[in-house]
Amino acid sequence: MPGRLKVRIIAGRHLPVMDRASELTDAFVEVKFGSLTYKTEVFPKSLNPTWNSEWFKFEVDDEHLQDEPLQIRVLDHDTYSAHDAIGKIYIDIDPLLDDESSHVLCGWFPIYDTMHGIRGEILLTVKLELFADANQFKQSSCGFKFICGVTVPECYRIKYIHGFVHEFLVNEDPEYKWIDKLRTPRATNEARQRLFSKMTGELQRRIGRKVENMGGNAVLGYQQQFDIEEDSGIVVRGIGTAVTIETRKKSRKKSTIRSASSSPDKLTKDFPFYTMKSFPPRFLSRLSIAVNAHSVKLLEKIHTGNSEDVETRDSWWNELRQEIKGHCHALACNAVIGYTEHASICDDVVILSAQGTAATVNPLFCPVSQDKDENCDDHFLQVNFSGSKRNSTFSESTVQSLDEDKEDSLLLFEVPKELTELVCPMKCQPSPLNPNILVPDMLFTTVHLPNDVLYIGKGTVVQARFCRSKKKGQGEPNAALVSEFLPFIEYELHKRLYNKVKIRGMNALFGLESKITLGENIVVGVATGTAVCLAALPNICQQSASVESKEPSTSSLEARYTSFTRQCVEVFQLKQTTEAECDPTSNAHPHLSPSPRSPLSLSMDDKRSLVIGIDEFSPHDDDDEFHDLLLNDSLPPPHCYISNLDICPGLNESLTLTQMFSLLWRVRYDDDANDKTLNEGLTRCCEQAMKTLWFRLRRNNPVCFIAKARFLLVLADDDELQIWITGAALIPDTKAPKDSNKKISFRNSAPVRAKNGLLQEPDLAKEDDVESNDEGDMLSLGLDVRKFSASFISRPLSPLYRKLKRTNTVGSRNRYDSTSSGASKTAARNRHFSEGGSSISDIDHRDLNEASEPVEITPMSYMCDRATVRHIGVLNMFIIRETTAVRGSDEEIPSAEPAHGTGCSWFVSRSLTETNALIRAHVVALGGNALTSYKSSHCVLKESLAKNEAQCLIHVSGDVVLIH
Amino acid sequence: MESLPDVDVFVGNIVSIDFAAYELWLEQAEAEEARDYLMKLDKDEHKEKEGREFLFYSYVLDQFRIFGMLEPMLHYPTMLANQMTYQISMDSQKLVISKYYALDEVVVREFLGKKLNKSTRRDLDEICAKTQKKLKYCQRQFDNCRRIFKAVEDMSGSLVKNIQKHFQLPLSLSWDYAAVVFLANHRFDCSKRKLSCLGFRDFVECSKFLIESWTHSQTDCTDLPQEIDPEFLHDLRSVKILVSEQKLFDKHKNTTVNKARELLHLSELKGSDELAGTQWCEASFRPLSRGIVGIASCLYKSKEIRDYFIDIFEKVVEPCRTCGWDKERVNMFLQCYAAAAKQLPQIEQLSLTWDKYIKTTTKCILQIYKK
Repeated sequence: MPGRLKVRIIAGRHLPVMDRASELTDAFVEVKFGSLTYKTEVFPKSLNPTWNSEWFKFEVDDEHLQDEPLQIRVLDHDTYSAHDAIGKIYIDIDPLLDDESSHVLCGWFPIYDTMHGIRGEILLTVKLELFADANQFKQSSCGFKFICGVTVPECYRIKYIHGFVHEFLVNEDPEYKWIDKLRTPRATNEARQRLFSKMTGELQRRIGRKVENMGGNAVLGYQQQFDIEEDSGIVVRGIGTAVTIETRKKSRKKSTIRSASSSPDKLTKDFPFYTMKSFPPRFLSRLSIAVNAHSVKLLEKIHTGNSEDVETRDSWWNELRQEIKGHCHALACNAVIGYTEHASICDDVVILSAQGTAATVNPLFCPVSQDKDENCDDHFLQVNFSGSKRNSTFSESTVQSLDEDKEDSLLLFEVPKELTELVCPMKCQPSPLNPNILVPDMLFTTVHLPNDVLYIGKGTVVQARFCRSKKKGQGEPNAALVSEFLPFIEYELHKRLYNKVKIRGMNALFGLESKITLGENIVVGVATGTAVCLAALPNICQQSASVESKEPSTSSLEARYTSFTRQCVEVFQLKQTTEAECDPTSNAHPHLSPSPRSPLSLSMDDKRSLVIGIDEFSPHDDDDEFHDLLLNDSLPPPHCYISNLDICPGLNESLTLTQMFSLLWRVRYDDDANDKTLNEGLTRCCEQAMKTLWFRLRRNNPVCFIAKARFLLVLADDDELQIWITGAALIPDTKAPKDSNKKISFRNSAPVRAKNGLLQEPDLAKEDDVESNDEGDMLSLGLDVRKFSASFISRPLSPLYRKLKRTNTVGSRNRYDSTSSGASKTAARNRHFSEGGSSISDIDHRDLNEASEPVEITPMSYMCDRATVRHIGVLNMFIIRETTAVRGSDEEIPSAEPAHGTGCSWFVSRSLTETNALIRAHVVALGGNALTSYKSSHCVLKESLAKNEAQCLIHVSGDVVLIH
Repeated sequence: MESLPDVDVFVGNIVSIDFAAYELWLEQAEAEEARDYLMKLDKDEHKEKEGREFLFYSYVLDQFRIFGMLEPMLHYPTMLANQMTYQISMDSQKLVISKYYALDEVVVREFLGKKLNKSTRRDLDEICAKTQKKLKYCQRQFDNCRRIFKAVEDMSGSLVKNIQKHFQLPLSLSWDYAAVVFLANHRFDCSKRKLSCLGFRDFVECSKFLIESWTHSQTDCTDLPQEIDPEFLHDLRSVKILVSEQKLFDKHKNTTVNKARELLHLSELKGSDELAGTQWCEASFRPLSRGIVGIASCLYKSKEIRDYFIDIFEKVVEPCRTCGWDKERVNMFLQCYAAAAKQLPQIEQLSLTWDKYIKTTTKCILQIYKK
């Protein structure tokens, strides 16, 4: 499908002053796609220029459409010397290729400069006209949906899961080319951003091709990683799961036809891996344990076009995947779910890691009886959408289905007989729910908590950290040293996690993410997961309860453990089952709760059973630090809970997103500190960072929750450690709406959804008559705010066009001002006020309305209390921000630097704020109003105090969606 | 490993502003001061003592960083509403702006009527010594005034509305700034020692009267909203006859006294002793009338306009005060005086001009008349 891309530059606002003398700017815009460049006219002497350019047309084949970003550059015209760059905008037009999209993109974009950040905004429109073309030899793959979310958005339904797709690209990194020594930092940064943007496009195109070959129409759980190998170049990797999805509305009519056409024998692939973390019902039949594999490799310089480099890296990852696959088979599983890949690079050594959860899946989960599935699926949706309401959902469902669910959920954890005899790290015990089924005593998985699994109490994040100092080195010996370390770190992390989960009285860990980060003189491993207490697994806290009734422990250490566990049991309400009231488990199956006779109660040596984990892993005489480490973990503040999953397990009330946050915390460490101090320091820092985080969040809302917390450890320099934490802050949904606009829209739409099950259809249908209404009327009537917001969001064009007309008149006045008065001084003075007259105030008015509906960003894959109506596209941005004046720049905020800091807090603050602003602008321009599955990876802050320089790299990704 | 981080930054998708911290920042408090203050306010017992200082400190720094980033935009508040870098709720935006532009009456009083230029700014250290405020704080107050002054200087239309619109300020605050701008524009002398008893509010109220009646600011279609109607000032010169012609003067005096008597009779005003009858009125008529008319007839000279406040103070307020009049009596006298003049045939043709002058002047006198 070749196409015609049309771009129109309309106006600009808040431009920076480029001419010191007149305090004004003579701005013009360059529009570039591929190798073709167009220019607008120069709009002289204004900080709020209006170009109203013609339509710049680019005729491109679809391969380029997918690969190339649209580049917009704003410059200040200079008659005598070179034009000064104001900033750039990169627009990925991939979302416009989607069949469902309107092929139009329109909105204000922040003008971004890598050295100065955001410098004004410009308004532009992009239109894409696609021509139908069925070339079977094509290289492109337009119209494939990429979804970052690890679960399917609720507006879609999975028809079929095809399997694992992966691809990567290798290139030279402009930052490390010889030419970099000659050019300005800005030029390098821009070359890099351009390259990264292009590689992102190309990667998606290639993956799209693969999906097409597999017969799918979308990629779910798409993860893109940038590996910056410095001198060795840059690798962009993408992995995902090819699926066939369909919109929920369509499914009712078309499903039968589609399901017939899908051929289910495709599962036997090279790698039966799935990058999703939540699955449709019936897909998963047994959940085994987390598996991971690491390898250490030595990097060599990449030469562009050298296929060897590509092959080497391909073989590296393949080895790793083979290993994972081997683990999976050893566990008698047929798939790996919740699969992720990660690389950590330091100089010329790279640690490649792959992680997933071995599982048995049923690729034929597809609808057997249509009706039932429909039901089930809706149920899945409901639970998924408001995961926190799961308990109530269950109590409503019939006892029969509960039984089924329960049986299913129990089988999910069963350890097959043949496996128990193998040499296997698992310890198996009969399940408390059904003594005939053997289950592991502790379960670690990388996936989300399956929806139909019963658990007790609340969940909480558990984190294990371990670091080891290493000698600085290079080449082969260094790599060898690192690879020797890995098993130890791995072991330590596991040991810590295991014990930490156990002493919290829990028995399972979901969403496990363990990362090993390599620094010059240190290797750090951090493993994070959300611990819960599964009803199907042996319950540790029940044992501890029996301890309670016995005589108090004598040993002080045991006493400490007991009291810690007791505290946890209380905080996380783990005793619900034994008290047997509200929990459906005990209601439905009281006879299944462990009887004193069951082998579980272990009444003979219950004291030991409580500390059993610790005993077996480390003898008592070993080290007190270890015990301290376990016991000194601080629990979340009262009534607050944290999870790294999409939901906070056990929170029944409905929640509202307050906001997405990111926190950067950097500490210095001593170059030659010993392991003990390093480990203590690491623990203290992480704990302190968490404390700070809780403090911030609780300033406004004393009771709040964190979901989808992500920890990223970065070792940017040989004596500093960066901790990046992102997550979503949630609060209980108060019945009295604060933000009336938002709440009203939700309330009104709720009954609609409940009645006909179709999402928002009536509203969209109403859209047209809303359009014809005058905005003013609509506002003054105020009777249906929801309608208003719908029309605004789904048709971003119309108000903008209206706005455009106004800007037009304003622009001419502006020009008149600046030329006729002659005195540029007056014009300069009024530069920010020159938009006199009522028309501008109208615009402002409009803008205010826009602002009243905030653009949400959330790391979760759905929006609490709101429904995803449409998935618009994936956003992948690599943002570079640099400054050559950490101290002494205009942007510095001296009053806000900590006394002991290096002076770059302002820089980080701005970088992060601007990144969010860029995301929001793209979301709005694409016609969305939220970004879900937000993920920031590859965040690095590099600082050189001597040179007074700092650089911040952030790679963000997520799904642009329309929510309602 | 160090226990304190050298970078500690928290950024959210939505900028949430802690207004307690914001006010401290506006007062130019140091981060440490703000920390201590906020810690005192916070009564959360759950937190352990140690580490608390750090938590507050890092929190304050984060807030201060937000304010520092927002500050350039606060200089152009309309920009704050449509910029895209910071997502702030409408309510917070409004509050942030109005707090930023909140006037410190004590500080601003000191430079009322002065030229808002660099040299006045340089002299701010005197003001800050006098008012015990931080220099930067005074400078911000000054800069706010100057910014608004410059912005609306050449704008057409209503002064107050311009300020309200372009700085997104609440109406009352816009009026305050309108007064500051108006006083500075005409360089009304507000700093004479005698006037030091007058507060910022007095001047704002007086300016309000002047702007409302003497300028065209209320009508939307005017090019020079701050200019005092020159035609009016020119016409005002003719009221001189009220004192220059003896016959007229006597007639005016008699009418005034009669009117006062009638009024006294009607209201049975108390204080019958030494001020009984209309003795007081007759005695003070000459100096007062000379003063009032003198001010009016000279107003066309721009230098005299500057001295308007000191003039009415010296020539009307002070004499009345020495006579021991209370505010009510001053008001009664001025009402009678104004009405009496209007009845004179020579003034009749000027009656609109006279009304415009004397009503506003009466309001001003009453505003600044203190016991």
